Amino acid sequence: MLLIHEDKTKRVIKGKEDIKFSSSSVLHLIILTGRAKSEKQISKSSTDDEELTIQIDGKIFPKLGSDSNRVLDSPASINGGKSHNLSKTVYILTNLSGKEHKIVLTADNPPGSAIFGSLQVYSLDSVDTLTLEPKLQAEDGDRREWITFVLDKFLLNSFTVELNLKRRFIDSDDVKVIVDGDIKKNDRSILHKLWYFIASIFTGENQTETFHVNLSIGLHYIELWADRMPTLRRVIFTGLAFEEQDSIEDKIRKKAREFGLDPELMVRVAIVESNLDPLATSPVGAKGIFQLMDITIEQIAKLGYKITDPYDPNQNITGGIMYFKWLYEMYEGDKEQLEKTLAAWNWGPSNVSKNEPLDYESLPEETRRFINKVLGK
Amino acid sequence: MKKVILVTIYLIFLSLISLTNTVPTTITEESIETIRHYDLDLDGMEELIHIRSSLVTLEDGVTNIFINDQKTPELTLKGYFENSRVYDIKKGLRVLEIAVTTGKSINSVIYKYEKSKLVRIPVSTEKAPSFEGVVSRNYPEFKDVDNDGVMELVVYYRHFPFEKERTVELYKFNDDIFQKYLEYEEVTEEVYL
Repeated sequence: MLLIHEDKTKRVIKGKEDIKFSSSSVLHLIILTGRAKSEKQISKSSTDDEELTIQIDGKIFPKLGSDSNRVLDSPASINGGKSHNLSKTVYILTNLSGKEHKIVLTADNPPGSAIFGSLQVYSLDSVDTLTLEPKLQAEDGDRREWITFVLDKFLLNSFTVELNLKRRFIDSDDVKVIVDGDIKKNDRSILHKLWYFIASIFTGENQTETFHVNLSIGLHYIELWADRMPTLRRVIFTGLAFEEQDSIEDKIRKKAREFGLDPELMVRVAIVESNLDPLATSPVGAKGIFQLMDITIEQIAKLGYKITDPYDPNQNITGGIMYFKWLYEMYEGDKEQLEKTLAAWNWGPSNVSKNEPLDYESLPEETRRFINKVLGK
Repeated sequence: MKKVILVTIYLIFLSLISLTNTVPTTITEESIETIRHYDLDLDGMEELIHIRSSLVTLEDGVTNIFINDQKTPELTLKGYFENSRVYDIKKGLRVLEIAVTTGKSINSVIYKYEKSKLVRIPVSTEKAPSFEGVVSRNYPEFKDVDNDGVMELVVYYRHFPFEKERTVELYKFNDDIFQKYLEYEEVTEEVYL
């Protein structure tokens, strides 16, 4: 596990904040710590809790269930109503494409602020078994969200939790375990059956339990809720595997084949446009891998494909290739079909005649450079 | 029987709704209409620049520019309207830059306003009628680079694939034309797209 980005500057997040990092690895562990107030903690008149949500390269982590896009109240967010201004930590295990990445933190409105504590980004090599030793003690407080492990497109056989719980005269440490919304119940106490680990039923300060969950590939949330100040000493994920993700080049090749285009040509176009960076943005707003302009995105919509997020590699690749294919077919039968397509891609189809031969001398300099670079001239 | 009649009425109702939905609207999300006020000839009276741009086909669209109360366009440009700006490039001369998008390129064309007409100022590297003005992925700028009181036209070209560098071309205005006089590579802080 290699630390590739760390931010320990505590601050208030108002609205949105972008955090960028570079990494060529696929597998990443992202650890976010923060706190948010409940509406009662903000003021008597407040009607909404503070909440901090996280998005990574356009990926959202919604609440599981019917409303698949709702990120508020998700276990992956830091929700003041559930964590009551006590520190919460979210561990996100995810695989990312490309080299440049962007984490977007968003504070819900109103009241539009939450406290950022820290962020660490680690790259990982392999994941069959992942052992984390956070030695993380909960701040003192009553029952609330404490830690969430987010497994993004992973399968998992089992996980083991090692905790340290203090027994106290009045109120001891307890920990609740929730897997994908399902509360793990203990059979040791009728009164506390929803709190799996309970210090008051003395089984020693150090308690360990393995949960055999056999989760299939998908988005999963493992939540630990705390009562008082338990410490998470170690967690071990066993039988962990992620969905193999194509590289950006492979995604382009597959989509190009699907549209009957030369896969290597389309990879070259993408390299020339953005160096395969899904987050590339030009000063005039061309976006993503194929550097789509807003007007091009509208044209692609007219071709029947609606791009909602041009920074999403899949959408950008599909839209870009669909548009290229449309241009390519426009010059069908022309002996300069490819050159004309590239000229039209860069300079616009209205400037590239279907009937006249392509006059290189009359092309804009940048268009000429673009064609030559793609064709390797 | 009642059921059949009700179903028939319902089907007629549905078909009427669908007919209503197919009526074309005059303003689509791919059309823009914008009005700008500029005192182009510096006579103290603002000209009204009415810009209508539409993506009438899947191709690059058309931008029509009307001045004041003109019924027919003063200018028709190939491409979707991107921006318009004015610059006082020297004492007593204000120019209007109209930028339209075709493909991934921005075509910036520069005009002066004389005798109630827009008069295009050529750029020495343009290749009319193939293209007029500047074609680049980014906007050109006007800056008084040499502090002589006259603004130069500064044009930027990106590199393929991108890098922290761009090509810069400088043009001097000689009362008729923007004449290129210098070209160099410039290092940029960020990768230049």
